[in-house]
Amino acid sequence: MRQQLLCFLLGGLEDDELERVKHEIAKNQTFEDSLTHIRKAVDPLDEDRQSHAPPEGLAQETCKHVADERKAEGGDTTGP
Amino acid sequence: MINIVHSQMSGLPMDEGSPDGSVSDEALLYQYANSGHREAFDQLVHRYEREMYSYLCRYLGDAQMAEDVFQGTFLQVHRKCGQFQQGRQFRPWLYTIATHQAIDLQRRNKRHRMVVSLDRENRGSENTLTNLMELLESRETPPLADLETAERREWVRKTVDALPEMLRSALVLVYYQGLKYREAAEILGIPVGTVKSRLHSAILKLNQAWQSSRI
Repeated sequence: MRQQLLCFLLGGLEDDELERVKHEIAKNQTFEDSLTHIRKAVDPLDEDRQSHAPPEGLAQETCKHVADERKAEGGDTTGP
Repeated sequence: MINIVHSQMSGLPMDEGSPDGSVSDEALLYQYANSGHREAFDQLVHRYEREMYSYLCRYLGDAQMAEDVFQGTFLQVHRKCGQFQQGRQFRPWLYTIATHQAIDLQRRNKRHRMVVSLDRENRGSENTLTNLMELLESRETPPLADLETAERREWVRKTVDALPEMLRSALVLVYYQGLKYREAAEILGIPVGTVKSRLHSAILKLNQAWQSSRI
């Protein structure tokens, strides 16, 4: 169960697994205590949760790059 | 050719599964693959700009490389869109392409990460958990407690960056990018159980690093 608790804290469980773990935690105080304990190992990761901002125009440049490739391929350039 | 369902309103294919009524990623890709509609492709690129760039920054630890791989990833999406199988989800497929592109670039650059302190042999997950619990019990104060916010962020980033690649990739996909274990397993080409054990090892190693820093 400790493994499942760590998985629970890290995210990524399927919905049915998630519900199962939540149910186990709710009915067993020991699991709740373990969860609090294990959380200490994961919490520091939250310090760097913020996503990295892309450089301005990255998407536009990428679209242009691909459009150029299509032209070079002689493909259709349907679009705005 | 891939069969698509067209929306009456936008002319783009709709996905019945989109709860907010917006055009799904998969539908946009089908539209692009079938008719070469550039608007559909551009929409996908913009939709994933921040998420994918952020993933690549974390994965590669380098903004310039992340930018190059971002462009290379969508170039591959353009080239491979005809191979996208119906019933698949676009997001994990995109991550698979991006991850392969990132690995290729790393190989080409022969970039060696500084993993000396964190790069020890991976053990079984139960062992890992026992060690982690022991470590937590021996710790008196929370790690990084004495640092300012920006310093803590930098410290966390550096230690995550110093993880062995196979541990870092699992951690980034599941914890930071919010993918399911199943999806991460598909992207990395490994069993779900291995993704979980790599994550546990990553958490142990990070905590050992934070502990040994005596912050």
